[in-house]
Amino acid sequence: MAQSAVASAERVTARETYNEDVVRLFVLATMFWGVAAFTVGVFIALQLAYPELNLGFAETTFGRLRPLHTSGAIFGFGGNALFATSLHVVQRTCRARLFGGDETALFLFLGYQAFLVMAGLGYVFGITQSREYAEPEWYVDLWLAIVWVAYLVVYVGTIMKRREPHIYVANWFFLAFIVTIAMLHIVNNLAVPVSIFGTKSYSLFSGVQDAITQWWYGHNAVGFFLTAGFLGMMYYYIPKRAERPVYSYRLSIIHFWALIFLYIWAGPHHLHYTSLPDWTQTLGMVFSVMLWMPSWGGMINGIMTLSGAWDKLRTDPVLRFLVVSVAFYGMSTFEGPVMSIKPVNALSHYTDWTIGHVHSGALGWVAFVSFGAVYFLVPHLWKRERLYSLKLVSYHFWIATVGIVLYITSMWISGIMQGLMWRSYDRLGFLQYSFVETVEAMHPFYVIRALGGIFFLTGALIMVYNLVRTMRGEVREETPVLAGRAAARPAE
Amino acid sequence: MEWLQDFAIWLRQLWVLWLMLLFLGVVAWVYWPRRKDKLERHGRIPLEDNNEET
Repeated sequence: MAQSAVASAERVTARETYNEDVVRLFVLATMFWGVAAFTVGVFIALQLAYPELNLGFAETTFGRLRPLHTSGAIFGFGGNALFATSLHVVQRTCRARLFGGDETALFLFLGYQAFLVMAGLGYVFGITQSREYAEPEWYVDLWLAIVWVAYLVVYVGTIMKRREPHIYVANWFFLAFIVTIAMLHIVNNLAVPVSIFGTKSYSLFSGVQDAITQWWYGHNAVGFFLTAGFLGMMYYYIPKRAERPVYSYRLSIIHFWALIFLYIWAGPHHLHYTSLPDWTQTLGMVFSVMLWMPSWGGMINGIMTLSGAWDKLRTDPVLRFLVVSVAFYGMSTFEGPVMSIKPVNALSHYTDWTIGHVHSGALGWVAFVSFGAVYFLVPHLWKRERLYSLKLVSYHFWIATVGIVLYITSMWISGIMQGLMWRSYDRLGFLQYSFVETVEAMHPFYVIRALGGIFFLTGALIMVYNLVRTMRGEVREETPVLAGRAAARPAE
Repeated sequence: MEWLQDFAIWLRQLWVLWLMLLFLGVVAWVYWPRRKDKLERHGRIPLEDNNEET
């Protein structure tokens, strides 16, 4: 009785201390944008296999829907997941409520969704500045800059008023993500609008300077948006879910600084064999290869956190999402540096291999770690005892994993085949294949890739169903995962 | 004083070296045996959340 009174008193303080409303909103947005981005992804994958699906309208062609998919996945799904988790982690590990009050937090949510909607509508109606992953035009860029600076102020302000003396490592990664994205976004989008009321603008840069600025942005968006931010997630939610501290806190500090020192130089590997000076290409290649060190240091740190508790991988599918995401992180960050080596790049660049690589990182690492974090967060934020169904989490895990495997293996085969066909010469020195022959050869792999995407989308829909039931406070009657098998085993 | 300026420009060319030394300094600081317990204790911060409801 007395204990429950203390517990409920604590609950009241918790509500007063932390702003969980904004985290809930961002979790909902993550679910929405995730399903939307995966759906568009499946559709454009089918368009590549069956071009009739372009439907004959400008608005529904692959060229316009493709940025809708990439921005929806990166900024819609990934961005909202990062907002949700960073604002949750910073409050919990600093033991302080968000700086700036609830109104500023709500502004972050509404402002960011407004950015996403403006960007997405622009793509469909053909408004783009044609910079990959930075397609929105100048007015959307300005708006995002305002939202992002507010985000930085809220985050730093919360850290400054912390009651925990030490700044936990997850916050370092989140902060590096916020600061670097601000810098990249502002510099890469420096542009001169044609008119105040028009949407068109021209970049401040031209020629090779333009290209290297774009890929300095593009690659560090991968490094700081899709890597550093999600590593912040890893360093909080894996220890939390496994109920053990990170394997080595000292390794996490080295991981952080190695990543910061090296990542920013790797961008030129996107411009191998172009008019970019040769030394810059080599610099980009060397720094990319050196990135193996922080990548694998971080992967070891994440996975070894389970050392001594490996059985949890069998019984807890949420932890399985988190840990397998780190394995995918290790795999795709092994593949990336290999592809940045110039002779390898000569084969892989401009082929589907790159698309496969991106998706092993995006689906395997970014999406899986986000799914794990969201599965952890929903019962926690909606004050539910547990998830509606762990079995459904397990189904989601396996269906999504099969989807990823179908996706990346088909793209490896298709990409390498495409690269080899492009460089084939006949006896007289003529190109052996016309371009359309390579496209024809890739058709079956495009179908397999679309199938992989359908699997992944199905898994995400199962997640949304499971989470909505959890939010409504329902619990599915089910035997614990593997309970049957554990009972069949003799007692130890 | 012109030599000082030239010297500074020359030093700046070795930026890779300076960054490397700075990084090695970070590594030495972190792995200094005396700091082990203090740093590893920080790993418990997420687990010592006493406002936990569930």
